[in-house]
Amino acid sequence: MTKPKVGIFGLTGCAGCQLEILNLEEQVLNLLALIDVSYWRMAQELPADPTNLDIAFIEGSITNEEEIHEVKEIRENANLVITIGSCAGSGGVQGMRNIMDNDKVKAAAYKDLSGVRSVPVKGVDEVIKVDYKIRGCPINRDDFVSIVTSLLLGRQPHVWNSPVCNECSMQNNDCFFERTTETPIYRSNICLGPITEAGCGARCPSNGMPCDGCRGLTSDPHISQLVTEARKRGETTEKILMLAKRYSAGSSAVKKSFEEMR
Amino acid sequence: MATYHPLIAPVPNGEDFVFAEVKSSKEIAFSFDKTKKSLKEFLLKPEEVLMTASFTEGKAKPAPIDDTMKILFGARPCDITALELFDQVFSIDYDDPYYLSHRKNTIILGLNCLNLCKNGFCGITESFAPKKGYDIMFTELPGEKFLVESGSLTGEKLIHKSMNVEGVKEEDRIPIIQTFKSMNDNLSNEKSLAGISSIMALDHQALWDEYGEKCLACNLCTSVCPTCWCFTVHERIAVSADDLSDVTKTEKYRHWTSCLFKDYHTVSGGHVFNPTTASRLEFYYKHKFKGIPEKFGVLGCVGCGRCVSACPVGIDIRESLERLTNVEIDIYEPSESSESSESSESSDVITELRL
Repeated sequence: MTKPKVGIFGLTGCAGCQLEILNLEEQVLNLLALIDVSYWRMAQELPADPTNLDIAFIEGSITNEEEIHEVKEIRENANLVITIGSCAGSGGVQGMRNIMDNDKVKAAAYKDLSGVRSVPVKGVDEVIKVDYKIRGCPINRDDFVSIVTSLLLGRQPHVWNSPVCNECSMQNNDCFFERTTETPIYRSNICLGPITEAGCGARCPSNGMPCDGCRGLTSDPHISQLVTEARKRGETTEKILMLAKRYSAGSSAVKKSFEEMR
Repeated sequence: MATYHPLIAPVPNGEDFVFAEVKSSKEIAFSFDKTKKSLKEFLLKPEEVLMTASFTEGKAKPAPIDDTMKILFGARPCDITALELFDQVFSIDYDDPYYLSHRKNTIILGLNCLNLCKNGFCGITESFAPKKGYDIMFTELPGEKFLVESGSLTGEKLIHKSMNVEGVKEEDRIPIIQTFKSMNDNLSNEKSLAGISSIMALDHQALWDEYGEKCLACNLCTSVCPTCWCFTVHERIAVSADDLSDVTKTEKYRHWTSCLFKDYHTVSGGHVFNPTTASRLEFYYKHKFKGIPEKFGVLGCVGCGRCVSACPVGIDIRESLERLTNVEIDIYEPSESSESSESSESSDVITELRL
């Protein structure tokens, strides 16, 4: 079996997902037995060859014209395009500027605006066809390895297709959204678990934090029900939607789901 | 007892109680309302490996089943009633070796409820006095004593081996009779769910639609339910290249799932049988009150009320049953004084039991 040629690309983002791959340490070596990394700017001294790739992994969101051009080139050069992390998948946290006043955001970040050439934040699939998305902010490294191994071996990776609550309730976690005995006191007014795709092992709720929604919407999110319930608990619709869109404001599909809800 | 086999018993956890392994009887919460989750997690594990194989060479083999003997103390009558259903489900068409092994290797020590618990309605589902399914049933008597009754040969042997157990004496007559009379008065209910499976065959679309508007499809109700057994099976490939040929590293495993998920109703080709939450809730209720009684001869609900406590949006199965049957279900409000705290001496009976 010839090893598939792989490229790992970084657009706008914190590079934390690429770092997660590097953090695999000895497992990286195992992975290298299966793949031939021909392009990975973050880990190579001299970037080699970004062409004729079998798989291109893209991290980061599209935030300017150059990146639009870059992803189109990557698509032409790769058989499979896989996004890693919520930036590439749905815009990531920087996507929040799409739902804020863009001029104010720019003015807060830069003194001199003359060199700023940003476009609204986009997930990679807004511009090119994406074959698979590895979710999370950052990605879970074990999830990454198991998905990549599955794909390399020609198997369908395990897709949960169900909310974080599925994994959360399999552990002995106290539900953040549950009504406590002393109603109407809640442990939390909002937890995004019910609308977020599982696969993280319910990491945040297991460590005492409500779900943040970093893995993006599950295939069947009940957004209006979640908003209704959180509103009953005293939250404003704006706040709930802002929270729910925190990682995915760069995705038109997510935007559409929220519009359908209204 | 814990010196012979691991002992699992209810322990306090915040406002609730959970089953956990205990080392001494002092850790056990004897006066617990009910555990937040049912005992099913010890018999149908949230996740369990079924078989392993080598990815490159095949050679599939069954995964070793955890068959350590355990003692589970504090099973409530509703949970024990639910086991009657589970025992059928996991052996009716073919034997499920995983469930059956855990069941065989778990000694169930029940603890009778003397009062109705929060959100419970076991009188209506007639599940407060199971006649089988347990090895020993404990009933608290006045005067820091427990009545122990065996429900199996294992339980019988266990009682005979115990040091601190005495035969019932004449002086126990009145306390025993009074305890069971009061238990019966507190728990039984003249209302019943007679005819429920026919009622479920009728159209109740308005009710399902109403619940569908509220339900988050989060599966908390199904995960705490003692009668929900649905699971899904997946494969996990060895994550490193070195392990691909290892026959223990590539696994087929199952984990809990829920009929409230879209994934549950999705078949090959992408068709979804129950696309809306309303239709999934209809499926859920119809299974519990029509499908299960018709196939297994028992109700698919044991009235524990855990789903009522768990639901984040306040869907109440008692309210649904009232609306379906037009039979009003009393809601029990526990008063402050009704909870009597146990003294530590009462646990001596338990600690002296020997296997």
